[in-house]
Amino acid sequence: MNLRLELTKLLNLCFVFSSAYMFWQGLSLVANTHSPIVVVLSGSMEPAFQRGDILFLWNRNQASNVGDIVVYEVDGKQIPIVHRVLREHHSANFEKQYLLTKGDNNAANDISLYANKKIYLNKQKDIVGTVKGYFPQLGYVTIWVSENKYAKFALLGLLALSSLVGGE
Amino acid sequence: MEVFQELSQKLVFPIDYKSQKYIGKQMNVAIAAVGIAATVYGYMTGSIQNLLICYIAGLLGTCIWLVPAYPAYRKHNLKFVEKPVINITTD
Amino acid sequence: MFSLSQRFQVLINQAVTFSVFIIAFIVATSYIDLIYPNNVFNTGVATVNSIKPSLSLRTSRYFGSINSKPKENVRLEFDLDSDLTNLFNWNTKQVFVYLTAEYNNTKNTVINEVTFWDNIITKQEDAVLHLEKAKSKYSVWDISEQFSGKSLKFKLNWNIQPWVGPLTYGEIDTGYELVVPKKVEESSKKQRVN
Repeated sequence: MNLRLELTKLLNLCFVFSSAYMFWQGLSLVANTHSPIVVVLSGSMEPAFQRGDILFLWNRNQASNVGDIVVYEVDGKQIPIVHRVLREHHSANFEKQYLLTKGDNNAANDISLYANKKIYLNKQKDIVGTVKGYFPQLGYVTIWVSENKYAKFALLGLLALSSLVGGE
Repeated sequence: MEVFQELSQKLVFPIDYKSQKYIGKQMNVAIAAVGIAATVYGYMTGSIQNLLICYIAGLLGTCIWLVPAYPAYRKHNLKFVEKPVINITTD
Repeated sequence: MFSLSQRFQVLINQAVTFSVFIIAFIVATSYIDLIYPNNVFNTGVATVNSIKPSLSLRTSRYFGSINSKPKENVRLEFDLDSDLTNLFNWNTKQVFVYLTAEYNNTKNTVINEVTFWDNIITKQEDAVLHLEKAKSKYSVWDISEQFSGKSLKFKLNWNIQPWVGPLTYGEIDTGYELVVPKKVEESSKKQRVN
């Protein structure tokens, strides 16, 4: 057991975590949204997006267009929703914009999902971002880890084993 | 802990600078070749799935070819090193 | 390169690095395919014809009514012809095509755009659209009380969903304009009872 070696390892680990965190924060600053990369959790946009697909969001647009795929948050619900804009109504100087959304794979629009009996979303308040880029299936690991109770331990065990065996 | 240290010693290859350098070079070339071949094949057939299948198959092939320490990669072992890893314990 | 795990890690690292180049190549070629030889962003043709609007009054929240006040909803019957074959290349997972109408209001929300019909095309063979007397998919209302009297400009829009990379949008102006007639017809008034 070499204390200096172990401490260096710990420092390296801290460096990896902090640089990942900095990357995330930098990205959210550039895209102007609190979650610039999201993983699709439901099948409501199939066949465009499957569960586990990764989406890159951008929130510096002044207004959303019809057909844009947006991520929005509903008061009182934890999980943001990814759906397509069906209608948009905005004022001349883009001060206010009202949106109606619908999932490609759903039969009806999203009015039943909105909070407080609203029938429109507010662009400035509710929208987290617009989907600009797409990468398939890479996020499935996060779904697997959060939904399978053994997966968490398997992942931790794998990490521990690799650090024990690979460390020199 | 003993078991893990023994395991990590087993996984360390004999020191052979010449072969290791050769493997490093070969790996670059192999991955580039596999990638280009897969891209061209996928583009010709117009299918991303084909590209992905080719790329993964090629990588598996490269893995089998270059990762294990075959006798051919151990020809230039350093003679004066008895054990591949020397554990130094500090008191 | 002195141990199994390290050699394996180097292989994985290089494979990931190279796959970034492959993705860049896929995105670049699919974009070039869209603008050359035919630029799909301004050579698309779509014609809509014989649009027949029908109005009805609805009192459900799901049809735009607030506090059960009757809301004017409009549905359409239309003919549509368009060829979207050029939008398909090796990085196209699906094309989402949607027929929208733009109109102006005098108060509050001045500019409006609503979807009447949409469709998902997953195969290039299905990309030639020929619809006759198709029914609109959605019953559309406005934020304001009325829909009658508004002048609608129709557009056919498309969105390419790729296998990997950025989403692409485009629109084709159909040149069709329509003023929604003023009155709610008698037949549709009866319908609102149920």
